[in-house]
Amino acid sequence: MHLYDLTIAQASGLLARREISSEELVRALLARVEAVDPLVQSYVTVCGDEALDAAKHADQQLAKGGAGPLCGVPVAIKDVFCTQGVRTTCSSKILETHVPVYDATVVAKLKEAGAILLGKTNMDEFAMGASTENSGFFPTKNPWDLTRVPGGSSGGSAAAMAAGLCLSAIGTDTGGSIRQPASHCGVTGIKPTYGRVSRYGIVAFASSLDQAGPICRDAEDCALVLSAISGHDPLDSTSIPAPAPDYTKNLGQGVKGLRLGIPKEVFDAPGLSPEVRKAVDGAIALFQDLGAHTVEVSLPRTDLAVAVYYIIAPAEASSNLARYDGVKYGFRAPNSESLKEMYHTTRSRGFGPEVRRRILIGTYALSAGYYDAYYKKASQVRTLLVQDFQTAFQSCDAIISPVAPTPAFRIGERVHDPLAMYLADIFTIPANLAGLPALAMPCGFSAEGLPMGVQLMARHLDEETLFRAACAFQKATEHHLRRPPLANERKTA
Amino acid sequence: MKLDPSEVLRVAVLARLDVDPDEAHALSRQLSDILDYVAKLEAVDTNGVPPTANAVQIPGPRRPDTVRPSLPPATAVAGAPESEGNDILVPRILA
Repeated sequence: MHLYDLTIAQASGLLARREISSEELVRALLARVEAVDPLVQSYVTVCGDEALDAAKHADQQLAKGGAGPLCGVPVAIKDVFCTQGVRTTCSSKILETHVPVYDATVVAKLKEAGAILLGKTNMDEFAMGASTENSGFFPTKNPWDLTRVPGGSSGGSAAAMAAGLCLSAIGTDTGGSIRQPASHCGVTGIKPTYGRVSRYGIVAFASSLDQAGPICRDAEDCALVLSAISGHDPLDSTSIPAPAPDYTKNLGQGVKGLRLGIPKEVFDAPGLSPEVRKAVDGAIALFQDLGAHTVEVSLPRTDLAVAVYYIIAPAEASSNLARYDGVKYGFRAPNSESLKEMYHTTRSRGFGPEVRRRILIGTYALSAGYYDAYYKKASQVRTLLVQDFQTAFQSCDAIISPVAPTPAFRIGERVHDPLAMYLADIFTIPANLAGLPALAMPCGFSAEGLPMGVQLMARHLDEETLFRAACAFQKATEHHLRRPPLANERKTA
Repeated sequence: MKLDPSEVLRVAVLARLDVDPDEAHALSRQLSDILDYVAKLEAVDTNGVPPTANAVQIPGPRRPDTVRPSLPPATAVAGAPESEGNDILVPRILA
């Protein structure tokens, strides 16, 4: 097995026993990035020298003994997290040269745990998109088929994970941006409960929906990483004031007696491909074999979630992105005669087409005379969606569904049809609107060899149930062990 | 709901974005498609339903009103496109 194929659990065992050094591991990953990333294009910035320095430091910690499970482990960070001294672009021209002066809390916690920052991954500009084609720099490719998208917006993170270019990748998820790319790339990802992970230092898109989480080879690794990055943070006023549990404690408990809710409306959704449906049905059958009870639940307003989202998210985005005006940081259009001209020119040259579209929709929805019809209405329907979940969770412990309606689509296929792109998030958006934790993991492969994912959602702060169920599933299946042909055929590292 | 090109231009001014006339036509079509799609919410009865701004309610956190360490001024302006000393430079505001 190559070093780049290791799980964190495996790597940290080897590191702790000093069978490998962090420096060896980082060098192996950097060599792999050099060989493979020109094809996949998952990284915006690779921090080679910094990573090797940090690895040497981690090796000293490991030599002393008592280091935690992430010590010396190379991770990739979506380029939406502020990293002190390392360029943070959000894959936008407007932040192309921006170097933050502080670390996001997630980054600070990872560094504290001894993890090595390998680089910053590509994304849809400001996390707006479902394919990573909206990056202001270049599109990332799906490692399973380089003519297809990796999903988005954390497409760089998911592709890097799938292609063996890191041992864990951190993403953010506002409407599915961790889960959908994880599904398209055949890896495991979790969006935690809203408020579980600090948003401090994450460039804001839609503040009532944004949440950070890990993408890893399997659920056990996700539990390891989430344990390190979650917890209360006084720097984020929406951070839940509860201690961070050790999510790795109850991973082996199995699913005997777990009540698994099957939302009938979701499985009847138009656009759900028969292949995905069959793969998810297979996952349900396996959970039953493993001892879970299935119960039918109703989420009657599922078909409204995308509409609610595409008012609330752009409304919040139009407000959050008002800060990019060329004054304090980032790009400034030169030679402006007036401040107003500078605002206009800076923003028009700095933002790409999808970001402009969302700012316009959001500005319109919040403008005088339209606020009640759009933003207020959407916020009320959001309440009804939250209530639907509350009712459903009275009779079940977790809800199962597909992650994305189809396997990864082709690059360019949906770029001219924003609405078709938005519908890629139809199964993932509800968890964001309701603030629920939700996990995506591979549950099969299409006839064309593309990974397909299953989603599990749970009650607020019940990530443990998701990890327990996912670990039981992955113990009984091998989908998560498959590697893209790219990873197997090339002789690297 | 139709967002015609002139309305797109009006909203663009509010959002401090330049939109040229060709782009306004394309945006008019795309944004109208999106507004048509979200119009399905109109049919939902929301009488008496409170809005949700945030799905996980926590009490507003408080902290003592004391001075805490913050970024030194030179660091705070380090990322500004144009600065002089500890000041950020911008084009003239007053005529």
